[in-house]
Amino acid sequence: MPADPPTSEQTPVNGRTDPHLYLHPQTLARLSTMELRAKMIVEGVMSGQHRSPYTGVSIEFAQHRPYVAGDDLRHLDWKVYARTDKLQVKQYQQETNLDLVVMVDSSGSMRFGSRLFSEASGSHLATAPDGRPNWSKFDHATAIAAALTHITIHQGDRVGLVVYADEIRSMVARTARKSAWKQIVDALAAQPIQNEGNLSRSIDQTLAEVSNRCLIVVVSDLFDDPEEIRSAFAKVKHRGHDLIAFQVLDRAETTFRFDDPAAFVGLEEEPTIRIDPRALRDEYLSAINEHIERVAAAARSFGFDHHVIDTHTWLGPTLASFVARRNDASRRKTPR
Amino acid sequence: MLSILHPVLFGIGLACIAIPIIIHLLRRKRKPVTWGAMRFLEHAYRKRKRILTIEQLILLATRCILVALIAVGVGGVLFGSVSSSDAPRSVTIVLDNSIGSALIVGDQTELARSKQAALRAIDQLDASRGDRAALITLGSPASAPIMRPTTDLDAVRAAINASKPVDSSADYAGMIDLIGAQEPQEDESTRSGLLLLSAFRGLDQSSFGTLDGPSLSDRFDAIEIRAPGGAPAANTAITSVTPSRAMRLDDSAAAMPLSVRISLQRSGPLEDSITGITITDANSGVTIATGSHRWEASVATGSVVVPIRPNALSTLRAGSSAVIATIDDDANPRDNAGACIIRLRQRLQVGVIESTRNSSTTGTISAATALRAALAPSDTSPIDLVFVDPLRISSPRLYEIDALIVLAPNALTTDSWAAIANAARNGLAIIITPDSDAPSADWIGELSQLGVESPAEILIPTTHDPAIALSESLPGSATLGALEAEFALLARSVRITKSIDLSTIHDAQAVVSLDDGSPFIVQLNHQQGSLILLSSAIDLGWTDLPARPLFVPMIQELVRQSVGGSGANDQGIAGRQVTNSTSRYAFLRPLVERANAQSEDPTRSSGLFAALDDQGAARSIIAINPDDLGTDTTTISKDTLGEQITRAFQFEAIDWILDDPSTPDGTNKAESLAVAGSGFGFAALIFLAAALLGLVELTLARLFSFSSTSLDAGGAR
Repeated sequence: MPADPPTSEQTPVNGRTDPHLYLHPQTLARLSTMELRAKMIVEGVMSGQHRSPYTGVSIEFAQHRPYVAGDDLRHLDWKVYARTDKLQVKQYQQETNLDLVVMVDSSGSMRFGSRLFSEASGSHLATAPDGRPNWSKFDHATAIAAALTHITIHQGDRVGLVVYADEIRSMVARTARKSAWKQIVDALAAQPIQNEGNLSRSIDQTLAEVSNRCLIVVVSDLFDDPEEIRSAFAKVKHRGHDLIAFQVLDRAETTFRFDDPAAFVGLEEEPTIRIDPRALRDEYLSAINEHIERVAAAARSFGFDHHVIDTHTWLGPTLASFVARRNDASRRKTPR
Repeated sequence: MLSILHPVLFGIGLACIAIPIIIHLLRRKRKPVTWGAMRFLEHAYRKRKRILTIEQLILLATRCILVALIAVGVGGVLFGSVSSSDAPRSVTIVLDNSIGSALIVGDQTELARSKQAALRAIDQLDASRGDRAALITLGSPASAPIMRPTTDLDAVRAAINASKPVDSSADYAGMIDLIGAQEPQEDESTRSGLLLLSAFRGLDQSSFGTLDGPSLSDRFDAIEIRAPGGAPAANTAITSVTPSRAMRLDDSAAAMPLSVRISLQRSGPLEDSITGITITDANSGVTIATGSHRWEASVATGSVVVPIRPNALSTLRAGSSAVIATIDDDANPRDNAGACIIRLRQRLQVGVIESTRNSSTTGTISAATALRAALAPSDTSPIDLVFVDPLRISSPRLYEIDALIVLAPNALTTDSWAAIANAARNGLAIIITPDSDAPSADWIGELSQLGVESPAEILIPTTHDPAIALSESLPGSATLGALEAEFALLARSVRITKSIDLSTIHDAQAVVSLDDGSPFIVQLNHQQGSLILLSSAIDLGWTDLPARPLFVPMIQELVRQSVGGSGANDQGIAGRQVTNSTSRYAFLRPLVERANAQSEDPTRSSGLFAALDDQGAARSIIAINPDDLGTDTTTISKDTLGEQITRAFQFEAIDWILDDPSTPDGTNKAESLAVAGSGFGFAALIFLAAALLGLVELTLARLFSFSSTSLDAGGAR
């Protein structure tokens, strides 16, 4: 898909906090017309547009149920008792806030990118602020994360951010304050490191920081061991959270279009190998396709969504289609 | 010092060496690829590592061999002909102009083809570089029109163009001698080569077997030989022309018929055919007889006797006439004629040496009487008998007679034998009988002066009791050929009572044999003359022959034939030494009229020649006939020829020259002159192999690198 044409509203690159590098106005404009709704209603302390699956004190009645010992007597419907001589407890449907935790992979493999930065960023910049000419997977992941958090904050929901590699490298606590946006952008501007990613450990560390149920969005190439990924997903499910996995891959990684023999240097300190790419292309594609399939299967097994994101496609349409699908799914699942 | 023999080839070689380098540069990734999904690349790499390693090793080996081949090829150009690239070349061209080279195959002669190949070779030489050439012609005796290699290549061309077929056979031994006589190259860097251009027809397994010359490998760096080939052409050759009598006396013309035997030999397809024969008088050119020979299939030799009228002969020169036999024209026109000499005499002087004692014998028939009755019965007889005193024999006296009949050899002194031997060297015919009354033949030892070898100095006569008869068949000698029809009848009544054993005399050919097979009359050809020995004296005590009818014609024929044969080294074969006391010859006429016949070389061409004495007077006529040894058109295989030449010349590597220079099989070196650069052929082969291997490498590289794999196929979701 060709990149959207840049607009006249360009903000000069200003250190690490330029949100326009991640949220192109066109992208935000398209997303702002939609509601970002979670697939499941998460429990929140703040009222909002998201329904809670938990009944309790709320302004909207849901149903009656027989009283059992231990119920709060304040919830007894005395009018029903007066008419029917039966003890019934009133239940209400609470509206909750959406707690969104975005986990962005900053491992070494995320530094890879075959797309030109000038083409991908939507700006007229030829290189990244650090001088890189390429649009990396990490760039794409941070753009996705920024978009999600931006929208979520502007909906009044709480948003948290985790940047991880082999472990959590930086974290922004959940907050609904709009001023937190700058914090998030600063965190996203952190450069990826060369360590190997460890999603399982990072999930553990993240889950330790959240008490209520959240929607966890993992934005990563998910090059971890599929079994470890499955284990991490299981922990998320076990803790009652929902998860969306955005597997960000560069098109060069999924097509492997190299003609000439070359030395391939890993970004996570793997040994260099000199190969003729054409000789290994079939085997390579088979391996990476199998990996993607296993990751997707792991996500599906826990009811999570899994999406492969191509860095060569503009993130706006990808997010728009994703949000639309999520909202449709949420409406089907949540009675109002 | 190294230098480039073939700059273009050298450039190609260098370019070939650059191919793998260029491939490497083209395929080389200037920067390494930083890669995120190494996990999967490593997985794929591990899975295919072994196969890839094998493929890469195969490619590596192929490329190494490719580069090595190119290096060797270039090396062949550079080093295979060390110091030959710019060094001068010396080519000795041996041109076969023997009688076989006159064979017409297609529309040109074999010599013409050889000359074309020679001229093409000359065209490859560069006189400005110092290239030289010499020319040797093979027609026997081999000669060297240009003995010493010269840079005057135009002169060599002219000599090649002037070369004509001769009537002699190929003289390979002479060629070896001439090559051996060439001065060695002064400049050791000079590349020398031998270009042997012959059709090599009629050779057999041992044609070169007798050569005993220097090893040509010491003399030449390379030998190129015109490849034999072609089908055997139908050709008939006259191998000999022999008169029934070599001398004719005028008065006996009517009584003594004359005929000519023509022997023929043919090669090629041996089918039923007829060969016509024409006999002409050499002096008048008039056809005096005709004949023919019918060939049966598979028969290669034959002869025919053609009678001629003696009166039709006319004197050509020196009291001799010549008849020329010609046969129908065929593939080789030079072997279709032959000639023989028939001497014409008015009278013969026959000397007789008898003992005084015998001549005075009365009451019995003396040997002299018997001889007179047989040879000169009347005054009109053309034979004059001259009795010579054995004690007064001198050379001048002997010069006046044509034949000498020695009836008393025991009476001759050693000096007398020396005088007789001296006369014999000048063509005196000699007939010797034992002394009738001598107990032993003491004179046998004296025959050594005539060149006759006998193991015994003395022979003791053997008495036959009962008397032994003559064999009724002639042993095969042509001396009494005129009596062949009647000999059995005439010999039947003859009895031999006493004789000496002549069987021990070396090289004696029996003219008449006894019934027990031992020789009765033998003939020896000694130097210029003819020697006839009888084993019995002309005496009734030894044999009743003088009293038998056989005696007269036998003595007549012995005298005439011996005189005709003596001093009659009047026939020769082109290219072979003519045994004659004369060393000067005058060309009279060719056997077959042809252009420029007057200029033909008497030692290599057929024809009639006059043998001249010191004053330039013609003493006799000599007929030189073509050498039939070189007329066989049978071809020999290249392999067989190669083996023979390799063995005879002690030279291993032979390059073959084809007649058609456009032959694309790479074997035609007439233009390239392997002597000028033997490394070229080697390098060309190497480069060809390298080119093929290069194609293999490209195919393997394409196969192993999956370059044909579609990039659009597959891909991750």
